[in-house]
Amino acid sequence: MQNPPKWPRQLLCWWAKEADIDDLLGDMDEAYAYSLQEYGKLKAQWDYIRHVLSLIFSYSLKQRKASAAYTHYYSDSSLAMFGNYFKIAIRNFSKQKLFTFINIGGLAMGMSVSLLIVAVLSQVVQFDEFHEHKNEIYRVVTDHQDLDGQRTYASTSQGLFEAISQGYPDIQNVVRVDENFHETLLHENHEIHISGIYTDPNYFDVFSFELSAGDVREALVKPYSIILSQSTAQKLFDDVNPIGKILTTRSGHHYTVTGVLAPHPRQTHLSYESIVATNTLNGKPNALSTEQAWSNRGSFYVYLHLEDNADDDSLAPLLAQLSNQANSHLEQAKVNYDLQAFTDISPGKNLFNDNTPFDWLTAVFLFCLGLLILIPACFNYANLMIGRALKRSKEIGIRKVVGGSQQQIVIQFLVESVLLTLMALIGTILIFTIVRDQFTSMVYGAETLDLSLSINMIIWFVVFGLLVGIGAGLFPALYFSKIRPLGALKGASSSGSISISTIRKSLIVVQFVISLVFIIGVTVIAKQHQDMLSYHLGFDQDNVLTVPLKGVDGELVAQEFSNVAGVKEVSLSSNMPGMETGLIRTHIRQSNNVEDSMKVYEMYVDDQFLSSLGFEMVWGENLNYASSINEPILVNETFMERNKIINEGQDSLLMNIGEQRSHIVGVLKDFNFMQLNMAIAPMIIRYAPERARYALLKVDGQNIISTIDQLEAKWDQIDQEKSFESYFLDHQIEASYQSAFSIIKVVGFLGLLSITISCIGLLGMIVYFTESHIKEVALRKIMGASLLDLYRVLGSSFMKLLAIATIIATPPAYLFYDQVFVKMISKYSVGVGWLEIVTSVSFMFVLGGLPILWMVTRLSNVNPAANLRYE
Amino acid sequence: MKGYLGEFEELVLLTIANLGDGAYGLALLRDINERTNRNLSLGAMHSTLTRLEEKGFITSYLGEPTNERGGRRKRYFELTDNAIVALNDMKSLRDQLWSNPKIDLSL
Repeated sequence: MQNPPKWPRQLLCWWAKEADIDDLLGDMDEAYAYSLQEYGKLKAQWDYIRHVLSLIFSYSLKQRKASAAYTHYYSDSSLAMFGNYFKIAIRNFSKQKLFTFINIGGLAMGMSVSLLIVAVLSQVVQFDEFHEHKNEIYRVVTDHQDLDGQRTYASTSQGLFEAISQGYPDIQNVVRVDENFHETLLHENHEIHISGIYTDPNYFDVFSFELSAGDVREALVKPYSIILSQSTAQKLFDDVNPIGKILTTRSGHHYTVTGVLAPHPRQTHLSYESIVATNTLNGKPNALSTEQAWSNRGSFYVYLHLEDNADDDSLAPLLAQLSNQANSHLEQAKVNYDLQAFTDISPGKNLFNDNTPFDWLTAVFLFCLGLLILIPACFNYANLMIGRALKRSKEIGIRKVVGGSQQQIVIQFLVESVLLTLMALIGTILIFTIVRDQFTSMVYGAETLDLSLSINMIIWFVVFGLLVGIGAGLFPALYFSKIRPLGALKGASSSGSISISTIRKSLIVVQFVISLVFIIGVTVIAKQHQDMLSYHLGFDQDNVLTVPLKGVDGELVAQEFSNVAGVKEVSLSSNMPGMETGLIRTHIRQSNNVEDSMKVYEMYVDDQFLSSLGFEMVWGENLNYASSINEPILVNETFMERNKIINEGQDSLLMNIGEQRSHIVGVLKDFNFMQLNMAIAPMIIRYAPERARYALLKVDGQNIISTIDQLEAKWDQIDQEKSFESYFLDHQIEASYQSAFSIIKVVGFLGLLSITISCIGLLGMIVYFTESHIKEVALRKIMGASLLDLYRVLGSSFMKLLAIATIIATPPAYLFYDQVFVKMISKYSVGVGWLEIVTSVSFMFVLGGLPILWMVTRLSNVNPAANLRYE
Repeated sequence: MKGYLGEFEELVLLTIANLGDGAYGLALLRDINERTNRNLSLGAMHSTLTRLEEKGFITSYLGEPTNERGGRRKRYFELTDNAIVALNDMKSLRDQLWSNPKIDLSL
């Protein structure tokens, strides 16, 4: 008998889904057989298709489908079923304690970094949301174009502020935030550094800050009025009412406390210790020239509060007009003003001079870092779960035979993984509370984050945990749901072992590659840190005591200090060599052509400077202050190199520095005046002891303490008001490389997490592997294999994975650290040596070898006869 | 009289009664197609059967699997008492109408 075409029937079955259409199919087949006999094939087929189509659109099938969907056999989401999944999950966890422990540990560590980032994110999205006028406030930003290219600054200039404040329609209020208030207070015999902003009374009209003490209208009206933040007021005055108290600064000014800020949400980029009336600046003698007023934009921010109906578009003409006004005052640059919505500031675009600590670029970077740790942990979970397919497939087979749908199996495994993740989340939160303080001490702007465990934060964490649970569990769930019930029931007992698939092996390799890159990073940074500290900077930094002069007459100090026993030499300098960042830069011009100029660093010293720090001269003589017509200066070798380029056929030793005609009398061997991440730049050294800010004392290594005591006594004779401070130069230089140390901590932490997660993954796979080879090991032992043989047989395949990871990871890691990373932290490094690589690789092998060793040892200590009876 | 029977519904019910124990989907379809010289599809047949079942005129049960059509079971239909009452009502209504002496329907 000829069979009917298949596709109509398949179509019908697919369309019917779970409805019972057995009798319909039977009727169809019978009708076909009958037609075939009566009328022949063509008619039979035609009838068949007609019947199928009519059935598909029939009322009958519709009703059958509807009733099938409500049968209790097929209900997907009954509460009882969830209860059952939950119970099965808990039983599985307790039956397989080692696996559960490994999974929880791995996921807890994997989530820890991401959790920190989630915590930060939960805070960042709340930034500046509490301001009443947040949607009407804009910040003026500056597009700046000059020879160096185009940059966008978050700050603007004084000139713009004054121009835009002249009352334009659409603008309700213009407020300046000038972050240049830095003072040292003398308070109860302590020196307390305080910083803050200068601003105007309308600050409180625009932003939703309130005062808990003092009057908002009066607080910023008089010069030298200061409003303190809640915490600063607490620090300075405890619980005493600070209103009306006088704060005296080291420079001799007296500020009156006129208000205390009421507590406000911490999540704002306008978070300052103090707020000072702008008219305080009127009394200070630093009037700006017109060009400076338009070009200086150091930490000076302008915020506009627009009228309800205005937005950044309606202000564009005004800004264009102001930009033109600015450009008429600027010589070498062009600016273009623009508006940035207040709510876009934090987190926002990465701008120069920004006063917010959070931008999207950093957020994305952190996010990727978190994923780099989280994803391997999720891999592990998937890997371990599938590794247990052997044990679980029977359970799934039974479930399917009694009517479990594919969807239900997926849900069951997702419930299990979510449950496990939530258990791991508890561990993660524990890690989080431990590393939180370390983290906040390293992150810039962390004081605006509230990382305590609030309800809100817990909700974020649980949502995060759910997502991770679903993400980690999805792959194993889909894998298990596809298991064919009959095969699982029959095959599981007979086939015995499932070989570890290539995909899973490569997952392990990827994990070890990531961890190896981190470990190499740690050793490389540690080595570079060591090298930097022992690098010869080109001068003698040992036993040099630096004393900040704080405005006291340097020459007098030098004279007095040179009489102290134990002080070998005293010199004066405007900067601390070896770690300076704030050197003065000037342009040296050989002609009136702008292209013929070069930027050089200047410093001012006395005639003892070279000898006391042991600088080497290449040519010429020390500064000789016997006055001549031209000012004698010293330069470094780099200067002479560069000078050749711009100097065309003129006397190479004569030049103009500003208006001053100068004459090079000596050339110094190049030395690292700045930190090692800066290349040696051209520099000139001028004789000007009156401009010195530090006294550098070459001291005897012995009796240091008594020497310092005597120095302090001398200092007190010269000046009673300012306190004596002294530091060793080499300690200062060392401290200036602290940032490298905190990078070591971060990368080290990441490396530790990463390698632990990888080892856990390896351990899980080894446990699975050995469990499926338990009989083989027993047989080998009975046949007389030694312990060493067992290590070789069982361990070699895993060691091979580690070796592959090494081969993959080492070359790119080496290139990255050697060519990019090291260049970034030090311009004068010898690069990455083989020692760092070898150390890291052996470290990884030792750590990776431990689980292999442990499992094989455990396995081989068991009585082989017991193992043979396994299962 | 509640629950009017449609013409086709009445036909199906009467055929079920005629076929007795052998009243399953395809048998009904073939019988009706032959008697009335129509060419109905299985879909139309089963839709009507489902409707009749919902109205409470017939009940159905699945037969035992047999070898004759690939082991697939047949769904047999039986009339309920409601159906018998309704058919009788229909018949007496017709008889009343036909028995009128003034009727002249001779062909």
